[in-house]
Amino acid sequence: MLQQWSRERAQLVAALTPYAVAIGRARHRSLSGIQWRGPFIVTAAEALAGSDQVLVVSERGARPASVIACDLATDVAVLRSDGADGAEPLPTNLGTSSAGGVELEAGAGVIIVGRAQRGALVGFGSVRLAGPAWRSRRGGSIARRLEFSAQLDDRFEGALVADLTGVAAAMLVPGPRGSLLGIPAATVERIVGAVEQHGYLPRPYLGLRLQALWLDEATRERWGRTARSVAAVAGIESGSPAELAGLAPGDLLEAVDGVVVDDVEAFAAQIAQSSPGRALELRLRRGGQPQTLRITVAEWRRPAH
Amino acid sequence: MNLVLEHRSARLTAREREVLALVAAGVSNKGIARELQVSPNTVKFHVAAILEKLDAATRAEAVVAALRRGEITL
Repeated sequence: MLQQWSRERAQLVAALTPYAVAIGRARHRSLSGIQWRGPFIVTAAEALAGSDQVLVVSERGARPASVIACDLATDVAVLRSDGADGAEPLPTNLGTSSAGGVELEAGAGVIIVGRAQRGALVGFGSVRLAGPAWRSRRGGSIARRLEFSAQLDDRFEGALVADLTGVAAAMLVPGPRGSLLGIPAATVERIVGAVEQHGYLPRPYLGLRLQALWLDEATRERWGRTARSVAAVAGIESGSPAELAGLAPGDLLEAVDGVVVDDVEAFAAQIAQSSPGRALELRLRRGGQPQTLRITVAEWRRPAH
Repeated sequence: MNLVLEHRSARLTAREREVLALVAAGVSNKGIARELQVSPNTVKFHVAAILEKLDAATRAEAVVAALRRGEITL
């Protein structure tokens, strides 16, 4: 019985290792990545530390890849390598019924597959926490909160987390206090999909500078807010969507499209979720009076010279 | 027109704000170096100084801290 269990585990690992890659950079530790689909490879954005060319090592050898998107808010980086492996598409659980997978629950077993320069890295663990959608401290909107317990080293950063049927559920990234977080497949796919559509990751732009303003209890009560802080407009770039919308310094931003935003990070996360071209309804207070403005999100461009 | 609140911690220099705005947009060190016409090592130097000033362990933390302080544009 034990032998069969061991064999089944090894088969599961063998089915996943073609998708596990190592990401090598000169003078840096290697990390892991996932051969996601087509020419796209994903890895942990933070760990790339601003690299734009890396070496991707798979089962079949090494090939160069370019970093084409680096989203620090979700910690998802998308790499492109045209010498794709031609493997079958990775079976992923995107949280939709059509994907066929079952959502990970707390206590479920997981297999974590990464790669070092010398070969595949495999770890087994379990889901420590499975919660609803959340906003990371980095200002990213993440489809589900997933935390794992497992014994892993830092070479697993960016590794593939799959359930015990071999369906990819998440990408592994380090969280606060040494925790292991999973960026759900649906969130990874949202970013890969945008990159596939545009060739890069379009970033929303409003032309606003904000600062957190602390509200006293009386004001909070009067305005019916629970959060202690609110995002205050500190500056507006000329010609920006913020200026066109009629925003003014001193405006206190209370809600975006009906979603109450507690502070600067929450506001930034709401904007990060939208895409260029979209119109948003901003609820704000100007001189203490409630007001509503519409703003059309533009696309961030590199500053012109 | 700008409202600026004073902070106890050191403010970023104009150059550091430029670098961080590009970091926030996911531009690589080399891309930032090309943009600002400096060497990639200078970019790394700026990034290290930014992390120090904002007491941030990671680039993502630095971006969030700078957003909250109104040092970079959303």
